[in-house]
Amino acid sequence: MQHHTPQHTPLLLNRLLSLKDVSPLVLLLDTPKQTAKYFLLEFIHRNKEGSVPGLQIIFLSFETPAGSLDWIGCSSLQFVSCHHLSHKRIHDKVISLLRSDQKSLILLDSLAGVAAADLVTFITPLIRPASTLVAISHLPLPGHTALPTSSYAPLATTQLLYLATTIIKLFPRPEINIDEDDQASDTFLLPLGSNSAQCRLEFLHRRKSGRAVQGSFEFDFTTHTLTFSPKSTTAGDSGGSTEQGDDGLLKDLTTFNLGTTDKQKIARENVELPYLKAQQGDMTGTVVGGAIVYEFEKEDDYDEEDPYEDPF
Amino acid sequence: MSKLPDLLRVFDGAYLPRSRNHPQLLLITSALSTSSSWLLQHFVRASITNQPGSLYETDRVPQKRPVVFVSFSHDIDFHSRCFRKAGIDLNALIAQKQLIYVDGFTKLFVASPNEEKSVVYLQSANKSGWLNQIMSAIVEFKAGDLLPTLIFEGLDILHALGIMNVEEILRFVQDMQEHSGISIASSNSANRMLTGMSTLAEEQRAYLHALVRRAVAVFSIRPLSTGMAEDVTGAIRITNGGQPCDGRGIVEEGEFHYFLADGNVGGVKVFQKGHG
Repeated sequence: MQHHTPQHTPLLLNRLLSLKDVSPLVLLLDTPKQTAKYFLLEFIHRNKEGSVPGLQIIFLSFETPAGSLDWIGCSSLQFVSCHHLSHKRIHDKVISLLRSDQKSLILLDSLAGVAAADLVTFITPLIRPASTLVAISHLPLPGHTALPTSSYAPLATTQLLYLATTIIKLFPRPEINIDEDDQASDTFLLPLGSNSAQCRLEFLHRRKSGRAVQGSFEFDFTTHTLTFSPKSTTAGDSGGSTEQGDDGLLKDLTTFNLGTTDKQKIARENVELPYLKAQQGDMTGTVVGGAIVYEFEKEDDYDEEDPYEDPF
Repeated sequence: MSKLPDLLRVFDGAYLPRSRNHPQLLLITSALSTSSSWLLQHFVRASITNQPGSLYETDRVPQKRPVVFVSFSHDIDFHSRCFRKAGIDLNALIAQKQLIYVDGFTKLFVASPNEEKSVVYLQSANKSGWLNQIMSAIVEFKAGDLLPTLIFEGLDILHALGIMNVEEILRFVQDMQEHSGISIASSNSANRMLTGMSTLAEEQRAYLHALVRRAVAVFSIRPLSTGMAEDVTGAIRITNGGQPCDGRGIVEEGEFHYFLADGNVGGVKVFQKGHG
């Protein structure tokens, strides 16, 4: 498995927010306990000053009333109320607003009102060249489902996960306060700390090569900062699987044992790979890049007089 | 002395963002045993009275906002009695054009012979015209650019009765929101209404979650988890909703106990937990 330096991940997310890297469909997943709208608005905040020349920002609203985003102060924002429009009229409206030669940012505040069967046909025409579509999909709380869907269709969220090139899932901060009253309550109750402007997020970006990069961040809308969380990992081509995840997938798959025992894992970790020495440096701690480390063995035939024999 | 104590004003000023004239939704959730009527009354009072530091300031100038009170669960007589006990004369407010009462309860299915001329009645047969009915009533007394406060009581009854589905209700709320400053909606949030695989439970969940996501603040009223108490009726919690309200984006959260002196109507006392 190939590993990236973890420091690249926050840079990548910042570049995505500033539209310096293109991701055609950014999917934001949220729950009633932590809204993704602050993160959606961060796209506007980062791009409202004209850092991308001629950028068009279009806000497609299904649940945000007109006028309620005035406080952001983005004069170039084109607001479209969609809650009375058919899908075709929304597509026509977006196409009529877009200028073909300009970069555009299309923000969609909720996919909750789009039926699972119509999701792909609704989303696809909005994904356009030189355009980034950022859409929020609401996840229900555990044990709850959102709008009823057909039993035979895949879940709306599952379909979206296949389409999206970047997936960002929002969580409340870990210190969210759930006390005994919350657990004993017979009513729907949001814990204190829900829907804060400071939250945690998990990020997964699928590169064109198919490789996925993922990481965790702390996000603060009030200061517009992203803080990288050290538990970030880089996933392989499978899009997010880790070693433990692989073992889980292989378990009970066949009658053969495809997993790795603890003893085998320890043995594998103790194998000394030849190129690792070249990275460790000499006694002074200086790393010599590209050095060839070769140790002679008994069977090696070494002729001191032959200049071409000297590997150094 | 006012029957509504000063601590109730935390709901207006310190605990909520200062309002501009842009639409904001406040959601009140409650259970069957803990009515939200007293809090709705408070918001009516706060909107029509001129109090510095209140939620209803516009650019730091406190202004009286007219109220449109839409109820699908009670008629005007019920609220007149409740408001009177809280020191508010509902009929006088209507006469002074400070409040429009929209009755979605009395004549929802059948025409009733008793009809107040000052009340706007909604009928299920004419649901596509509700928005126009309410809007024309608002235009009648709208003063200047100040948008009215809109209060919805018992909207969830509409999908339970099969008059509107959840999406239609949400569209109706959003349309109304775009013509008001602050909107306040109350909804039932008892778990027994939300759990299970029945269509009613699924729709109630979808409706409640959608409102939570559209609200800037959620006021959750619930009974005490420890059972009945002589001096405490229930608990109220204020949390952020899913809609960012301004650049700070933070509603100051809090948890209180309250006591209704005379059942669910009359004087109310709100206090910090453990300070009753």
